[in-house]
Amino acid sequence: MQKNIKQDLPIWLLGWFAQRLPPEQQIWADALLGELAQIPGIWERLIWTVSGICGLGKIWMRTRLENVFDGDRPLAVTLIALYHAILSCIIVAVLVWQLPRMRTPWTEAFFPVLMSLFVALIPGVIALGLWVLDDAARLMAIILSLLHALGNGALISTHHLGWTGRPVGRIVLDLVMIGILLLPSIRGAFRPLRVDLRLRS
Amino acid sequence: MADKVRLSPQTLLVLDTLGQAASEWRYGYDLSRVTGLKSGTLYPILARLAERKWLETCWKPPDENGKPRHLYRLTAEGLRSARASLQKSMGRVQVLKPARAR
Repeated sequence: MQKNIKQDLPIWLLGWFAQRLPPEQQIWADALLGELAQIPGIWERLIWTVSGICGLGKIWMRTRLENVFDGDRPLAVTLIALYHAILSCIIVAVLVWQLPRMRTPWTEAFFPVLMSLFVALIPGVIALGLWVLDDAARLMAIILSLLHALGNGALISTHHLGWTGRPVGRIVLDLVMIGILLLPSIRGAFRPLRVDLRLRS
Repeated sequence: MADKVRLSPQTLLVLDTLGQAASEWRYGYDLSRVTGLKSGTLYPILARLAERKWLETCWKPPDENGKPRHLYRLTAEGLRSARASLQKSMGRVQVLKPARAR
């Protein structure tokens, strides 16, 4: 029984990892699994498995990077992605710049600062998603732009601002981005969300 | 093609091994033992070579162990490119080979 568990562990590990790979890379996981049955000795099988998982990770990473730099991305999406990336960088830079001026003890400020940094990174994550044409990122960008426009609208409605040109400009920019991201031609460029359908048997 | 692609010593080693009996189909485990490369190095190389159409692959139906096995051999283009690359980088492969081969 103990021996069976040991023998099956590499197969289980590799199989578990293989299930998380995109279908086009499944072939390499199956190839590794096919060879596993021929390898004698638990340690050699484990080394084959762990190393193989690293190899599958490399294949996955290389494919992702190739997708990042391929030329199929519409120019408007590239610009919107860059806008989000710059926005994220600016917010993070402002946060970091303000850290030395902070008077609150670190014990109290640690979690609010951490949360602020986390929030500041959200546009960056959206930028990355837009760059790789992930449809979830397109939806997130629309939601973020909508919230940003509403926030600016609320700011204008307080009547505390002397000059409302900047928030109005940001609302217009947000609406333009929403409009672009909803265009059928842009929607078509994004990959649909992957849904894995597997039969238990 | 071979001139434009920069090949690592490990890739050259795999090409060299496959090129020695170009018409024969080889198993991944067999290649790993001959070259001394771990699966984590070998399979990304095989994937890249297959992507470049330097390598053809096929499946051997399952035997008594119940798993189909993947087989590899160089295509005509792969063999040509491998020979050209190996000729250019002869020193690099020969330095690597005695240290790696079992």
